[in-house]
Amino acid sequence: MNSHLLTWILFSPLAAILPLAVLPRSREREMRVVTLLVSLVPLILSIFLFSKFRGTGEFEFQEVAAWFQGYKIDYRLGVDGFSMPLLVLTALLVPLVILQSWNEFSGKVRGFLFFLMVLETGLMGVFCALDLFLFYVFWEAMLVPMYFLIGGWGGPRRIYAAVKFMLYTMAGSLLMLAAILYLYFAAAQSFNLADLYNLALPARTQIFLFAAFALAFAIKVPLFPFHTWLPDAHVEAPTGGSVLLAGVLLKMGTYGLLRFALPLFPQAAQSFLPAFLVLAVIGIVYGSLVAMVQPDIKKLVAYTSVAHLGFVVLGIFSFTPQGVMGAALQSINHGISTGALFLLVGMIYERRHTREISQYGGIASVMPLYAVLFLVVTLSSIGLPATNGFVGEFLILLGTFKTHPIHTAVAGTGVIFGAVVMLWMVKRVFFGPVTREENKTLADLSLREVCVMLPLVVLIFWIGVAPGFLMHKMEKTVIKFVDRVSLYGKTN
Amino acid sequence: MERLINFDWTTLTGLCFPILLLFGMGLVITLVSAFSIQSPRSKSTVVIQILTGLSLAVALFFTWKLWLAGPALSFSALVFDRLSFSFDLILLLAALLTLFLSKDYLPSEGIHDGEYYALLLFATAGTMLIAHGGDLIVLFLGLEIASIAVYILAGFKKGIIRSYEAALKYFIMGSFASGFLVYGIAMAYGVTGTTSLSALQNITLPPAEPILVFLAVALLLIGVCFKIAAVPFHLWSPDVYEGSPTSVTAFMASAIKVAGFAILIRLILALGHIPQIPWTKVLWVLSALTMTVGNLVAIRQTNIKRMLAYSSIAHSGNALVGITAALQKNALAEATLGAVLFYLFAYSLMTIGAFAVVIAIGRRGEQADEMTDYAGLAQKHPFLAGALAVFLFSLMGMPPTVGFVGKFYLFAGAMEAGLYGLVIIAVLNSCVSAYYYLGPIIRMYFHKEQDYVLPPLSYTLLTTIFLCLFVVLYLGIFPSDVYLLARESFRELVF
Repeated sequence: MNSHLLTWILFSPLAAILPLAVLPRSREREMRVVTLLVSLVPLILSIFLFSKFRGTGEFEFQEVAAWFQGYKIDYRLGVDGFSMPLLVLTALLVPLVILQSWNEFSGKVRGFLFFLMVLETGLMGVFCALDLFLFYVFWEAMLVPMYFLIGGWGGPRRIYAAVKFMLYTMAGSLLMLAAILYLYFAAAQSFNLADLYNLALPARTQIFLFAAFALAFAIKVPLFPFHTWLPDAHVEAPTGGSVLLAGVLLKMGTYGLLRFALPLFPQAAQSFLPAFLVLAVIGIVYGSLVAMVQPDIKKLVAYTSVAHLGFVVLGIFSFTPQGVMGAALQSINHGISTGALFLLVGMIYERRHTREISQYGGIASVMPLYAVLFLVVTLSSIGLPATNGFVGEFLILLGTFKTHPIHTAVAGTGVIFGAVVMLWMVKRVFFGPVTREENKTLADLSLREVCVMLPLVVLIFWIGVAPGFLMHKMEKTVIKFVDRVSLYGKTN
Repeated sequence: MERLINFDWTTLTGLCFPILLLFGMGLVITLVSAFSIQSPRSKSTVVIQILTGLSLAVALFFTWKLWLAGPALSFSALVFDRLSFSFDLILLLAALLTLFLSKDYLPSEGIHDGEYYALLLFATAGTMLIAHGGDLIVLFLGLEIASIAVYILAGFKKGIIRSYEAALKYFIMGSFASGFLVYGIAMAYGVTGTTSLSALQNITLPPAEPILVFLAVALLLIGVCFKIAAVPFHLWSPDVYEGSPTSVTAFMASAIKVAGFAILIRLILALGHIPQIPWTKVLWVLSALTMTVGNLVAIRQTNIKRMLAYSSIAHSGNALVGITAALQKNALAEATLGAVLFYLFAYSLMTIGAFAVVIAIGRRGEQADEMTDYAGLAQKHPFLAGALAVFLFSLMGMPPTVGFVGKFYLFAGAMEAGLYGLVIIAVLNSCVSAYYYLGPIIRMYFHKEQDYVLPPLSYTLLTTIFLCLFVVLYLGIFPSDVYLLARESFRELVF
């Protein structure tokens, strides 16, 4: 059983499909309970896996089975320091989403849960796949459930947002498919990542292939000029969709850069480096500035995501161990804190059915518990010391400063802007007198909602105070990555 | 490769049995329906349906046996190799599924004629004749048998102008195509002195008459392109697809298209070596045009049958990518042609599945093949909506469906042949196609439901949808076996 643990984690969410299909339409509560229980299986298994994970820098828990004949395509799974934490994060967020949406969507819960579980499998598959073809299958397949989640359970402009999301990401990934095929025939005759890592491609070829891969990932991240799908998708998606979108889906982009685009084409990565650094910095500053003027809390958080992911990209392209470690860590942190923010926004939306900042004010006196949690998460998001955000951002800035001080200086202003954005929003929503009549009777968080937030808050402080447990497992992978990229990138 | 000079009638009859069975049963059914009262409930209709289904099933079984035995025999005019049997299998399966669709669909459209089934059998036998054609004349003969039967089938909705229009348009355009084909055959005969594919394959042409050769091949190609609805010879297909009875449309989109590709594959196998013909350039342009025009025009469609017609055009373009790649490699690699065959099989099932759902929705009474008629179907009938969504995602090429795998094999072959530009055009086209395939999905899942009653589905229709659904998903995850079968088909070819 131990050797097939990843497969179990990957496909256990699909076990919920059968009970969901069988239960009659009126039994919505049972559907939620069953799905919640099923979603705990991958969580428990992945935590167990995390505890067994040694962080050797190699792929651990590998599984191989022949898949396609005629082409060398295998079912090949494995995790290393980059993917292991993301796997756990995915498994953690899904049950929280189910719990958060406990009272929502009555009448159409079945589809929501169905697509949520399919999405979970798709997302985790992206992080586990070590065969380029298998990776692509998960990468594309996961679009479908996300598309349905946005389009079926989203806000008023959901259809527009869903189609935009789908077409935008497809355009990028189909070019990546062409590049993957080229890679197979031109070079390796294999889709196995380990074989592909050993290639020494000519520089010109690398440029084209890197461009195709990086476009797909840059759209997903999203890097500055490709970010326009994100605010629409976030605002229109249901809370659960937003949480997974911000928490996991965007990380597929940065993960793709770390796993595929950079190690496969290190020379091209070096030549594209200046462009990526500039785009990342623009993303940081632009994201923060645009976030500042948003009247809608959710849209505001969405734009801060653009800024945060800019930091992650900046860290990756610093090519220093600190920077890359910071980036990998910040990927997780952003998943936790932005995921938590979207959950919190969803909770208040459920009560008031609006996300306009101007509709609120003085909420802290009505919902003290909610206000405390919101503030904690906000502080984590802006990177206050002793929270997880600080560790990640600090490492990124430290690592990048060594190689690119000017970019770092500009990005540093983004930290300040980010703080301004979030704290100003918190002030307008929570403090001051209660101006609106409707807000005076808002109920504070229920036990269920506290349970949703608790794991995330614990993680915020745990990673903030003692990030060692995470960093030890990622260390060797990070060093290996930096070695690869800087060594291969410069020798030829 | 064994060549029989003196005819062995017993062997020939054995090998031809499936085709002969269909022809014979077609004649029997014509007689039965001529001498019986035609009404929906009459016993004769049921008998005819059972006979048709039985003969198709028996033919399918024997063809499979023959495929396994794998004879590679050539009787010059008729050839029996694995390729032809593979085509037979696809054609028979398509015909069988069409029959399942028709059983339910015809009464709802007020069609009670037994001749429908006879014509279906004749058309299938004709397409099978194409698959076995070892001579240009036989290819033409098969095509005519199939086409004439389908011309009539297209106009089977009596009293409905659109159906008449479809039949007439199909007939006129099809006759033109046949004319081109015959003219091409005549030219080919004029240059080479033979119409036998095996003779053509081994011919070395004197460089003296390049224009005649060019003309011959061009005319042949134009004739075939009409049949597979490649741009710019596609204009007939949307009107015909829309106007014909939906079950016939499904048959046209699957079997007739596959037969067209059977001719094309035989042609390039026989003539692909002729250096005077710029095969790759021509097919490159054809496939790029077909994909792009098909997909772009499909965006504007509001009728689902028309949309599927344009999508069918675009899919012809995809298959042409594979054929271009095979020609590029000169050796006519079996892997790439295998990919084309796999794709044709995959496409047939996806599209029959999609039309099956269209028929199921159409059963609610009034004409319901506008996109707006699909609003809120997911609430009304989750199974149908889910099935159609899977078929559309498969047509779009989303993993894990067979459409994705088929496209992967095709594009991989093209990439291997070095057709980078064509692959990029093809993948961008896939993205365009996503836009219009999402249209019905948006309507089904995200729009409000309408007020109507959907009658319960019949078992035959359900079986068809289930079968297509199963194959689309199963082959999307485990395609190896069928792909290897498809490749195997090209291993030992005879003419």
